[in-house]
Amino acid sequence: MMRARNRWLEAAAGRTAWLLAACAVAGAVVRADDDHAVEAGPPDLRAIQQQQQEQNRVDLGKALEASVFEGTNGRGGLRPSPTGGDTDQAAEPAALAAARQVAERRLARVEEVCGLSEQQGRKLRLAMESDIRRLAEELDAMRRTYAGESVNFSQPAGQRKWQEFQQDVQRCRQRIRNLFNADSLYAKVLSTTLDAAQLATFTADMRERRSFRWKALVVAAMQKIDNSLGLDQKQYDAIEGLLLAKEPPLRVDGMPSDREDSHVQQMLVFMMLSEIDGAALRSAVSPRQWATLATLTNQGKAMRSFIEAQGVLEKSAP
Amino acid sequence: MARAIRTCVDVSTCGVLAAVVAICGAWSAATTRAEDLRGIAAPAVQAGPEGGDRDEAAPEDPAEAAAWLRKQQMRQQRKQLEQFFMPILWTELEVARNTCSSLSPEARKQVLAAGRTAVKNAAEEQVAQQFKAGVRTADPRRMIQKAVAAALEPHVTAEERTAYEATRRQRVARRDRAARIRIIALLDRQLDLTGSQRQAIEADLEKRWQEAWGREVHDSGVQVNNYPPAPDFADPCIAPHLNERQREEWAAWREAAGSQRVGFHARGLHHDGQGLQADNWWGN
Repeated sequence: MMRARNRWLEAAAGRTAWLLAACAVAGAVVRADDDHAVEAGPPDLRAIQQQQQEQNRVDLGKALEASVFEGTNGRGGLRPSPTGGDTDQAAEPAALAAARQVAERRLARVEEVCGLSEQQGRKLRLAMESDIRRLAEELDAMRRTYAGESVNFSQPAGQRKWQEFQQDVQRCRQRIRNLFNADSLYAKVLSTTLDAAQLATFTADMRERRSFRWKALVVAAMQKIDNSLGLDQKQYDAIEGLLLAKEPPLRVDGMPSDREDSHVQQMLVFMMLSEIDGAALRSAVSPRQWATLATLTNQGKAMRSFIEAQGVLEKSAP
Repeated sequence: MARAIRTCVDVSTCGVLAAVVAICGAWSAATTRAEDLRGIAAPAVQAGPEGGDRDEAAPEDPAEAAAWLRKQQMRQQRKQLEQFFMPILWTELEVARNTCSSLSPEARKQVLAAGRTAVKNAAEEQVAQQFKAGVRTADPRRMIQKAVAAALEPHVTAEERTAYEATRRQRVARRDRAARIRIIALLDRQLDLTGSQRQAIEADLEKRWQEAWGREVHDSGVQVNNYPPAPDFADPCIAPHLNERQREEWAAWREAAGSQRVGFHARGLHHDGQGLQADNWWGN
């Protein structure tokens, strides 16, 4: 009995020794690279943690500069810089330089369409300059808010701060886009500076331009719809007619940095498609075509807030 | 004591088992990857542009292995493109159905089969061009259109043929009009055209329109030297209608990003979004 028990114990001890050796081998196999840091002791671990925290830290001042002020000139700088030898312009951020370009484009447009006296030109330029300075002050205030600020993504407070920062970035971009909107000083001065005939000519030109831009977007989107649905001429004319009649207040004098985004433009057309009377649209196509067309209108409807955030529409048309 | 030893054995056994499971898992994963690769090679497909109906396992020789891998990639790409091109076929069949409704079930099957073959051929040609450097000239939509039209031809009445051809011509005319408007929109954005300039350029473009121009115009958002590609191929229809300021800007734009000048060709694949669902009227 005792002998049997001893044999069992010997066998168990042998098995244990073998298994412990196997565990040691397995342990060596499963050891990962990052184990070294743990083995190296607490000071190194702290250094790594600090390094990781630094990696998760973002300088908000620099991020603001990069995302708001240093936009690229998507139009390739076709327009010359404003005259007047303003030496400060060389050092000003790209966003403000781009705003000046838009101002010059607008002014040149007014000049070409309805002609301006020297005094009218001066008044309009002054109003634009005033709008740009006001914008610059607002942006500077935002710069001061974030100068030297940083957030740590690994902390909830840092993530919240980052979200607030992103909202401010969006506000800045919107503000730049809306620089010469209907509520700007330029828009107010324009309506009082031009005489009745000039104003009528200018307004008609803007309307015509906006309508052409909308037609171009509609025709481009219709080509995709046509390619998808296999429309006949009658169907095509019906849908295009409905869309052309649904013209939104498109922005026609955007910032040079506003590159054409065909996806946004297409979605804008689908969004307007979704606002057309469904019965009229449905009656223009076959049930099979409607199954696909309805999907497009639903896509457009779902994109409304996204489209509005892109700044492709004026707040109110002049 | 014995209980302690037994416990120690149990714990050790667990550690060993875990290690064995881990090692087996890794081995199994490696085996599975190898089997996956063989699985890709296994299905029989039609001879591709590189030839060969069925591939064996990856060869040992590095040069042969590279060729083998290339063939796998081409095959995979071809399959994906076939899926990509199927909506084009359903659109073409919709046009055919709407104009040639008297087709017999047998004729429909033949047209569908011809269309499917065209989809495969278009995918094959596209892949061949992608894998060989050079300008892409394949036009999948045109290939599929031509195949469907040819398959319809023996089965339709004279009235249906006339209606079908008229619809096709109208579609081409719509595409060309869209391209012209796209060119003018591009010019308008860059050069600030007046209404009369837009009209004059559009009239000139229509008068001198070349079929190839329709394929050069794109809306992909590509920028060359910070400009969109300039439609310099249509310069004779544009330059005479610009004022001095615009002519200078047009020259600068062409110099920096003229489609012809920089050799830009907008002949990539264009996805038109969700297409029509498969139509059982054509058979399975």
